[in-house]
Amino acid sequence: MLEVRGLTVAYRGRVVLDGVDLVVRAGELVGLIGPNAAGKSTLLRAVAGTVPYTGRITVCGRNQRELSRTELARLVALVPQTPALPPLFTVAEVVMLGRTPYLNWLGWERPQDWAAVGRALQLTELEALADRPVGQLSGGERQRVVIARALAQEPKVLLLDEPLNNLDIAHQVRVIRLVRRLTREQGLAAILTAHDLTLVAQAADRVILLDRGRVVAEGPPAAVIDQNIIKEVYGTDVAVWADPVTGRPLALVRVGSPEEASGDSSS
Amino acid sequence: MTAGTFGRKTLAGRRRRTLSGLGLMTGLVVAAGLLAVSFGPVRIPVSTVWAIILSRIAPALIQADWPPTLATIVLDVRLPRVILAGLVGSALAVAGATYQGLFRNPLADPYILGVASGAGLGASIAIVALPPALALPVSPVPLLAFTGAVFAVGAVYLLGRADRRLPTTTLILAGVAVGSFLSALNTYVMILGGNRVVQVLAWLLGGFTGATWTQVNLMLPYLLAGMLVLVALGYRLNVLQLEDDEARQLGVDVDRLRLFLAIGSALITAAAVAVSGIIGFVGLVVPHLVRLIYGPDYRTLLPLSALAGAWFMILADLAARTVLTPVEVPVGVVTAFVGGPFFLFLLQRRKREVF
Repeated sequence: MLEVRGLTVAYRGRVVLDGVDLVVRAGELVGLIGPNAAGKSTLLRAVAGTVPYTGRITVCGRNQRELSRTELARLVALVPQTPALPPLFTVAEVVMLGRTPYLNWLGWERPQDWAAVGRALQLTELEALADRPVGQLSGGERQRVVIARALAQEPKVLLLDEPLNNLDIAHQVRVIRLVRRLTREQGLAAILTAHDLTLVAQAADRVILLDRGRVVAEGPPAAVIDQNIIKEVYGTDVAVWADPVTGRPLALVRVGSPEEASGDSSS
Repeated sequence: MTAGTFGRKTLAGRRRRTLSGLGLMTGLVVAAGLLAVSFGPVRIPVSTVWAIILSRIAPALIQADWPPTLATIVLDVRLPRVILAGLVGSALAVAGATYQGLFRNPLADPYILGVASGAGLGASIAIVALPPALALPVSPVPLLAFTGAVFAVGAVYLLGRADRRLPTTTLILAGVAVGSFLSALNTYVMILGGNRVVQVLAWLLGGFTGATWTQVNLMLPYLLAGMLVLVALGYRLNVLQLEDDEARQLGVDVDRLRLFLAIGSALITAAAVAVSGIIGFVGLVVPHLVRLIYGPDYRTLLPLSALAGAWFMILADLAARTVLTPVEVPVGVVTAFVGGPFFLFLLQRRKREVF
């Protein structure tokens, strides 16, 4: 579904991604973790076509470079980390913007577009808020609006850049369940970035750990979220147990006593 | 509630609101226009105004039962002035709405990219530098003002480009820088102009005194071309309200879109400034009024702003020439004096976000 080979991105001479290879299959949810500035957002933006890169990105069997912006927007949707929402637009209007790649130049919506918006609102449980201006919503509701807009694009590849930020635990669980449902039932390929290792371990089928622009570990959650690997990359002590019910890793961050020198490999 | 009914209801409601808004505003513009032609040193009944205009369009239908001087006043003096005011009002309102959307900034007005100072400099040069004895077929003032405005926006655009992109902040900063540079030049030219400085100041204040059909014809093609482009881009302007990268990710070529929007609004602003000088407030406030009433969707905001701007400017000009007869108040004074409190009143009533 999504195949990335030798992806390299440089901003003004600084290498942000350095030869990244990864594959996400249809129906798979991949968790992308790594310290700040590891290149997680850049990776997602390169796949979404808003960052120039070298290497090769294949989406649904087609070379991403050869797709027009519109064609790419029908295949790949990105939920950005800090979305901008025009406060006077209603929830339905913002979600309808996700239909842009399907609309003509003048943007006249057809019944199938309203149906897609309706489905996206239903999946994100936003129907009751459809006619409310987004400026009046809470942080969690706004996050769901952006996810709904991405769903209205009816993509094959869904990229979520820290979608769990600003959400309480109940909404975090809802978003994770929603994304899993989309991958299982509709066969989407999804990548989700997050800082909370335990949540990623619970959510993802597979975890990829990125550090300074390179993939340093990849595999099932228990293989990547490992005490030694995390210590090596983040320079931070974590204690990892296996969840007695699911067997997935539970990671506890150890802050340590003040005298201990903290590693600083993250910046 | 199924997905389908939800969408169709919303859509039907919105279409109805838009159509009724367009109908209402068109009616208001026509009514204001008839009223404005009717009032003046000679009061002409609205029915006679209507008949005179109709007799010009379809002479066979109407029996002329009015003195020919009335027809001259209506057709050659007041009508061109009212129409010019309407066109300038709609140009400024549409340009203001577009810039507000383009820069995602509620304070943007039609003069944000240096159009006013460019046009001012052009007009000053025409008034001060060209000998008045030079009998030109067309007044050089609007032509040079137009040239100055287009030149200023061109300079702002070229200077604002960074890294082959067109970021809004550098564009606004370039607009401020070019604007102050040209204003300084303008002051210099005015000082050189001696007593002709009065003429320059009168032009800068703006207004529709002595409007002619020539001026209407001069601005109409630019206005129509620019408006057509902008109204057609209304939906893309909606998408642009998101972050640049989000809009790109939805398939919109942001930099090209921004270029088209900037050119379109610069063109109609330049055309308006060339024939009427610099009239403030309309381009800033009218789009916000329309937004408060009809919502932020640019597909409806732009055409409704065009009508509301025309309506507002026609009435402002009517007030400007009748309130203190025989003295004319600069129309910019009226737009600020009436528009300001009205706008604040609406802002107070709506205790919510307006942009």
